[in-house]
Amino acid sequence: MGCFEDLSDQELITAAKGGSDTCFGELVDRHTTTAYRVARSITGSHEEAEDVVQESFLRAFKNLDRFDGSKSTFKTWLLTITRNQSINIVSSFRRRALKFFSDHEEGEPELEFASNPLSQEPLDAETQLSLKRQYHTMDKALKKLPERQRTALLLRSQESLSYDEIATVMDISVSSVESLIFRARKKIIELVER
Amino acid sequence: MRHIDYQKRISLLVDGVLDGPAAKEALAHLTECSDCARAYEEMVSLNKALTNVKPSLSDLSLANKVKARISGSSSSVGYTWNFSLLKQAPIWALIAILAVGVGDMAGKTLTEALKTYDTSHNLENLIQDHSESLTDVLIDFGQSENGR
Ligand SMILES: [Zn+2]
Repeated sequence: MGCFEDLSDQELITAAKGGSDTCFGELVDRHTTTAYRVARSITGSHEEAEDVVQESFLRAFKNLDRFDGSKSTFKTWLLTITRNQSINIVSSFRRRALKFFSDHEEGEPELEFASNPLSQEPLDAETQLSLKRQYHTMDKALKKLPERQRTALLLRSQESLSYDEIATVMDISVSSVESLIFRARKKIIELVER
Repeated sequence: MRHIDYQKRISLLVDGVLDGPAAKEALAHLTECSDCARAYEEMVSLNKALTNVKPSLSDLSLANKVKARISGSSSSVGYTWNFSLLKQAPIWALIAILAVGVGDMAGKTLTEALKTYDTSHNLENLIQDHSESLTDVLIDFGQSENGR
């Protein structure tokens, strides 16, 4: 069976369950960047985020039979796995011990920002530089938030997930999501204004 | 209703998930309360800023790595962690630290061994959560390295 970009995630899942690696590959292309950003924001590390994304997709692939499209979308399911994997890494004893023993600071990879969706033009160097500065200011403030607040806010503001979807990914109630996002916003505004 | 309660609603308004009478009430409050109006402007600006600084992956290499692992996974047995920190802080460096600095601590619990290194704010968590001996931890590292 051929795979087409206009197939829905659910259609791709059905084909992937039937044994099509290529269709699962299309799902990988669609959701890698989002999964990466979620993992990166929790682990704070480019390399760990890459590892988490690989493991999360692998887990999703191996457990496709357990995916229930009536309960969640593939994206929210994948992000649930990604978040759990990221939290496992961050809280693992091995990681904390290694961080303790090693002064190694990971180099920041070259960041790129999406081009302006309105103009379709790639961003010029000056705008890229200005965005990088903004990114570092924002990144610093985001790191000061508890993981739950940061994740809820970014899932909403960067990934445009609905409150219901965020509740599914984080396994909490919608009213908790509302509260986490509100507190995250208040805190970031306070930090950036300082 | 207190200003903070209005601002909770304003956060929902910013996301476009507040409607009906609650939205009308919040909008009306914005016209008469400068503090909440400012909070609204700040939340809108924050949303824009977060969207602007949304990083994108510069190439397709991560997606390709994922696909390569998936096509390889059907023939592989078992499940291994590709834990990159292990590559950065090799087992030999840890052994060297042990041999030079804490050589006389073999067999002590990790808590005892680490008590002398009172330099990290993470230490409290480390001590509270675990009481494995340092040897156990190193054996664990070694197994992870060999198992890959
Ligand atoms: Zn007010």
